[in-house]
Amino acid sequence: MKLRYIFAMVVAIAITMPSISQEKKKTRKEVLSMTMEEMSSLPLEELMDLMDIVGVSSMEELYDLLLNKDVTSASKKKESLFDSPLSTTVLSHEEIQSSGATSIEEALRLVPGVIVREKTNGNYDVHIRGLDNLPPKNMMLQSENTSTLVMINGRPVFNYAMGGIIWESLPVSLGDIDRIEVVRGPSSALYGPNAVSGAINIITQTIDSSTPLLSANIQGGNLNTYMGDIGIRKQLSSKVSIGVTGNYEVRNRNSDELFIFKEGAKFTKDEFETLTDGNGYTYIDPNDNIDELFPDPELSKEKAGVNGYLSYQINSDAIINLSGGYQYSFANTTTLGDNATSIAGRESKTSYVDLNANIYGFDVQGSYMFGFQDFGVGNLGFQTDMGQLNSNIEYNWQLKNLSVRPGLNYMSVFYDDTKHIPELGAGFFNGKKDMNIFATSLRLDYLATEKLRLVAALRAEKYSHSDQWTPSWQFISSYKINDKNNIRAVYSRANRSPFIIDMHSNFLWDREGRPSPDYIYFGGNENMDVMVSDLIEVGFRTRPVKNILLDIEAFYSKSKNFTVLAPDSTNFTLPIAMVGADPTILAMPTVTAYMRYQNIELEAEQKGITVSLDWVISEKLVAKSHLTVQQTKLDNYKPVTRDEIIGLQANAIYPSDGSNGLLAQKIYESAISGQIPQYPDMTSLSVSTDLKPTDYENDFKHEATPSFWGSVGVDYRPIDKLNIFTNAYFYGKQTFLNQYDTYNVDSKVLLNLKANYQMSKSLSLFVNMRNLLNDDKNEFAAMDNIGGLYLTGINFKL
Amino acid sequence: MKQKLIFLLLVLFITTTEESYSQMAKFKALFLYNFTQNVEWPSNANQNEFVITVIGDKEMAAELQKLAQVKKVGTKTIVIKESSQIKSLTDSHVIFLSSGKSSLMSMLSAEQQENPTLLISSKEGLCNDGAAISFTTVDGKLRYEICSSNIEKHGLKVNTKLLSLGIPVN
Repeated sequence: MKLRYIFAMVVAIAITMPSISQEKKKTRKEVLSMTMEEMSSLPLEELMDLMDIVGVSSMEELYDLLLNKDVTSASKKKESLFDSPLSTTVLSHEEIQSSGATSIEEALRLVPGVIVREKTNGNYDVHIRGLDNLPPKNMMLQSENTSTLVMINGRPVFNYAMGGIIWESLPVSLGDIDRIEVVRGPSSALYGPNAVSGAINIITQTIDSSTPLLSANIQGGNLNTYMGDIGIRKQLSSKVSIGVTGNYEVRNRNSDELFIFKEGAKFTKDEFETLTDGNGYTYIDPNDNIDELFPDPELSKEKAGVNGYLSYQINSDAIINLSGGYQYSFANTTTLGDNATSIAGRESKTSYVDLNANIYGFDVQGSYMFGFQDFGVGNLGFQTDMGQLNSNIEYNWQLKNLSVRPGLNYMSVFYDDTKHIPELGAGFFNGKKDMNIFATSLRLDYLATEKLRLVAALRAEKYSHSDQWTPSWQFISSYKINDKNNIRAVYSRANRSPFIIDMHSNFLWDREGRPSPDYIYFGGNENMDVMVSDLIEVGFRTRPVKNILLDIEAFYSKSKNFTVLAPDSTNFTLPIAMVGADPTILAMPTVTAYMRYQNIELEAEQKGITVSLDWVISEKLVAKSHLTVQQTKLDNYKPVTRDEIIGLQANAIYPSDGSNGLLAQKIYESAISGQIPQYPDMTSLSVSTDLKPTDYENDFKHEATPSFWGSVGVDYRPIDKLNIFTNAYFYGKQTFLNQYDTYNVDSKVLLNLKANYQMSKSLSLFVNMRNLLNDDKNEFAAMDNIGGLYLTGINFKL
Repeated sequence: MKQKLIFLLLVLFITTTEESYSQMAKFKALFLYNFTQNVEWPSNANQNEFVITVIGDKEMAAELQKLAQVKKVGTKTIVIKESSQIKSLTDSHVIFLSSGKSSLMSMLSAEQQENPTLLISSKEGLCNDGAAISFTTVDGKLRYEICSSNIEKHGLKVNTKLLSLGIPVN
């Protein structure tokens, strides 16, 4: 009996199988030949199956991936990139991975308007539109980009101690990232201080049912360069998802030599240790230990990070995202101090926790980052503990055509070098120094008509050291001529926060064994105006045909209230006594230069244009290119260095030509008035001057930012399994001025190529060539010659 | 050589795979028709015609027009209307908003808040702006996001099958 049933079942299956398999095996061609009437009679689930056979064409996917992107950073709500009221770019994970970029900074070369120059292997200078090295003729620190706010999921990762971004200390790597959104132009009204030239928001992946459980990307190549990331992510239920990621990267420089500013040449560590100037002074500070300064001068960068992610959807109106992590990094890159060498080490060991929630229309974020940062390895005084608290609450209120978004923000940051100095006075801060910023904001987004959109974003910062509110704003109007053409105009102002070192620097540099002056004092200043930048911009976005997206933006900005560490006064102090009737100097004077952070009258005016073109040529070929042309001019520019000002002041006190200066005058006056006792008694005579050069230059052509730069690239997929991405990143020549010299950096074209072969659904192999023609010109003043980097690796997803 | 290069670029410039693009419109139209089979409009919305208004997408309108010639919704004849704006669309059972007009979804939703209208967007992620259904692609497959509350607040009823086959959005 049972056998009969089994037999009947087998027969039934055998009969039905062909028809089932026939159904399943319906070809794409057969589906496409079906009439509209036939298909419209099918239930939805069968229709979906047929659609899956046809598939969304590659063109459709490319249109969506490249030309129909969404962005959230420009308006703090998801919107089509085409409709974005600001100059905005979104780089997707897929684009970054396809490009072969080996770091977040390098990936930014794909973003219009962003100039990226490599200093040492894997360490980069990144500027949006420019405004770099301001003011010129100063320390290398002034070349750091202190006017772009970088965030991870909206959490600022900005160096509030000295300004700028410690790029290697970001805990995430490319494997964590879903996309990078870049907003060009002053954006303090949206994100607060330091979003002056723009904001970069690195957004990590969300975890859903389609997320691979395990993903990894590993590559290695010449210059001892190895990097990898791994992620385990899982959606546990419809409400909960978790993920853990890790990353590691190590790179060597292409040389172990160090560039010595005053020699204008490179030397080995051993040579540097004994190298002396014309007066016999060693360039290395006798108080420093060269092995502590340069424990491994060949090492360019080493970093590691771990991150954890938890997402909990409480209900349909509330979701909480929690992330946390730890990072370690070391980099030999441009010095942040006043060193003899252009390169110095810096180290970070920091942790963070970030709580980000959307609850009943409220966007709430609270984060805390803390740890240890060393801005000048081996250089006493640069080591500091730090903590940074950010909290933000905003509410999005949609009133028909008007979106109202009020917000409150509080930030508190401290740096404390107490534990890392032998006694108070040996550090830069000499204790725990902090800064608190309270801000309130309001953004109004009004769709006046179906075509006209008006946006006003206002924000005011209250810095803890100041009684005044510092405003920033964006006024935007965009007009959508039709679905294919959109024009926009922006007027905005942003401000840069003071930095802890600007306000609280308190350091006396004993220069024993070094050329005059004997001491240099670095003093902070809490009474400076914050640097502000005003921008007028017009933009035009068009899709003349379906497969082309063209974006043109013309900008004009004016920036002022720059701050700088510059000589305030110079003092000569000396023991003196009357020997008979003659005032007699009993010892060489002690010379102290007092440096102070201060506002300068400098104004920078920039005008430029950026054009970007995304072109889906065919299913197999996509081209992307961008070009920025700009010019920066300076007004009220004093082309003098620190040493020149100190020299001017010293010469006024004690002229080198033997004429009578302030010192002689003071000695004469003191002697006449009987203030100088007869030897063996003596007195200390002190003479100071704050004399400054008075000559300004206007219309000075500032060429630290190249006059043009851009990228041309194609993504070619000859067969489904093979993807070849090649691009050329290029920039014009530049002239960099620091306190030691003028450095001309040649123009350069970097040709990159990544070829990726998909072995299976889970595994792909690739070769990745950065600067494949091995053009080894240096890209940044006084830094390394950057040659080719040739890597091979695997990408794994399960 | 230069002329050849320019010619090649021009050829590339005008070359797109229109066939695959229209396939997408065709399937979106078929999906949309299927949606109408799984949503119930209130009796007071019944007229002699079933009106689908397409905003800003000529290809979609053309595909729906083909459908309208061979299909009905219940006993009602399907009428396809095209519009370039979102105002004064009072008699539509379904309004389809093109990708290019996606920024207008919140305004459209406010305009239609009193009407028994199913709002469908060609672009994903617009349920938060009031869309009932948003087309999306997942792993190269056409799918749709569906928000039951956005359907119900227009006085429409949706069956569980349509909800279960879509990607629910709250």
